[in-house]
Amino acid sequence: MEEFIKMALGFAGITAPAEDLPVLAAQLAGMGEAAALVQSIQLNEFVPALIFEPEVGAHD
Amino acid sequence: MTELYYQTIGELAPKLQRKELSPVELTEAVLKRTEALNPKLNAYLTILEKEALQQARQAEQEIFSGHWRGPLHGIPIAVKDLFHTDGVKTTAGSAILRDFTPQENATVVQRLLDAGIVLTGKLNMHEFAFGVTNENPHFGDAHNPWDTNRITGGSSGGSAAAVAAGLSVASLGTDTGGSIRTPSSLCGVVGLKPTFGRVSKHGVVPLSWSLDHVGPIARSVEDVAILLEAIAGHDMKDPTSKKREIGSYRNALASGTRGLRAGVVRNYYIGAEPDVENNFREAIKSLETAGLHVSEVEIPELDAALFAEMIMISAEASAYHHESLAASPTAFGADVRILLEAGELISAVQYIKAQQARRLIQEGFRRVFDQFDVLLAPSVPLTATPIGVRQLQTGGMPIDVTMAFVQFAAPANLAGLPSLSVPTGLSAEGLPTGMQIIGKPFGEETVLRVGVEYEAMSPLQEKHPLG
Repeated sequence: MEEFIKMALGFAGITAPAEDLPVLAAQLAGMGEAAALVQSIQLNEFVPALIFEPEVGAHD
Repeated sequence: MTELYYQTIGELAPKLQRKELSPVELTEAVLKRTEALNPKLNAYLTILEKEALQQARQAEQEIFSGHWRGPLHGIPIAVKDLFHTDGVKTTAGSAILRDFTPQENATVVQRLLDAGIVLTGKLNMHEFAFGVTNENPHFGDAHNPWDTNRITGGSSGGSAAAVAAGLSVASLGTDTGGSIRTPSSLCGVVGLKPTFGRVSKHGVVPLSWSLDHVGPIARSVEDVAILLEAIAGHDMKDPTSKKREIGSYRNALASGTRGLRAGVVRNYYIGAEPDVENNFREAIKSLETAGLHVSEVEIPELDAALFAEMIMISAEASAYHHESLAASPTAFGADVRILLEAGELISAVQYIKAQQARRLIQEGFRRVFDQFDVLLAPSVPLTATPIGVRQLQTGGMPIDVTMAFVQFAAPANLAGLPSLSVPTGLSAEGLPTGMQIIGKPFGEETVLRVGVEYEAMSPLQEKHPLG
């Protein structure tokens, strides 16, 4: 996992200090759990992403 | 009589207007307090003593010659160090911007100066606003005035500490995942995150473009209303700013809350420390006696809030800092650097799904606001934690301090809703607790009405840290 992270960051032009890699690996695992939670609620093609709103943020 | 440095704008303004008090005398009192306590609190990063006294003398001259500009004229105020200030260093709490001096004021700073404030300095913050503790490896941690071994909360921690301890009459902060409400709650002051688009962000170092909000921190709800009236309104320089009429926030405070309906979301804002929860329940009882109708409600969509918040904030912050992170990663503090690196690893799919979740969360709020005028929740689930503590054990379960703070704050950021944090009292350890009052889009008047009604009954009235 740490090698994968190192490679992915390198692809983005980022050289992470070695001590960051295990912390990032743990964070990625946590992100996976959160993503799984989101799968449990309805996110389908009928829910447009908010980013496409002309007025991002508060709705009137 | 309350010391000058602990009086509110609402108390000071009439004295200044009637020339019973000079802005110079007031500014000297605040600067003296700052000189005495800043070494202990580290709330200020830059103190503008000479400039502030010069502005105070000018305000005195104007007022004494009959040109009183309004309730902020001659009031000493310091702002978070991410608001651009013309000719004054603006570090955003970072080493990267340590020597950055803007040549223009942020729109909100200019509006406060136009209203006649005396700018006393720039306040400590979590590096680039990307954190909730205000532990800062570059400029030192901000310390909570109620217990200086504990965090102020962040990212606007210097602002909340300065206001709580009398080092600034009021302040401005920013809130992307609770950065106004969290330190306000932990330091026992009032903080408002207004509706997205209500207050300009021009000239504010960004954290996350679609979640950032600018708002006031003060010692009373009335002061928050006064500051909001001064800074709110459309700004051509901020494309997210809305052309909506500015409310009469201060006048609205007298309207009371009788007949208003408040919801308590029972499926989300749960798991608070017992003292936080007890003070929240007592606050609800007080509001019910004042005529507020309170009942429980569910918003199942909020289960996705923490995911959406963390994905979006990380991805957007990493986009903003990408070049700096590539060029000199070790120029960032370790905690912020790791968050930015994590943001580089978020996929486009995750970002889009977070945006979808955000849409659902907005719909969830829209649904319940058909039945309620405001929603009530603890501002944060914890009191101020000791500096350096990242995890707590509650009921045998480890709790990540940052995630706990962000969890309660995130829904109002994601939906762009106004949310006011008011103090609800102290814990058994003598640490402040807070309640947030969340309103409909552009419903600032209503949240302030509920806030001021509760404030009159709050057990924290007239209590200050550090004497």
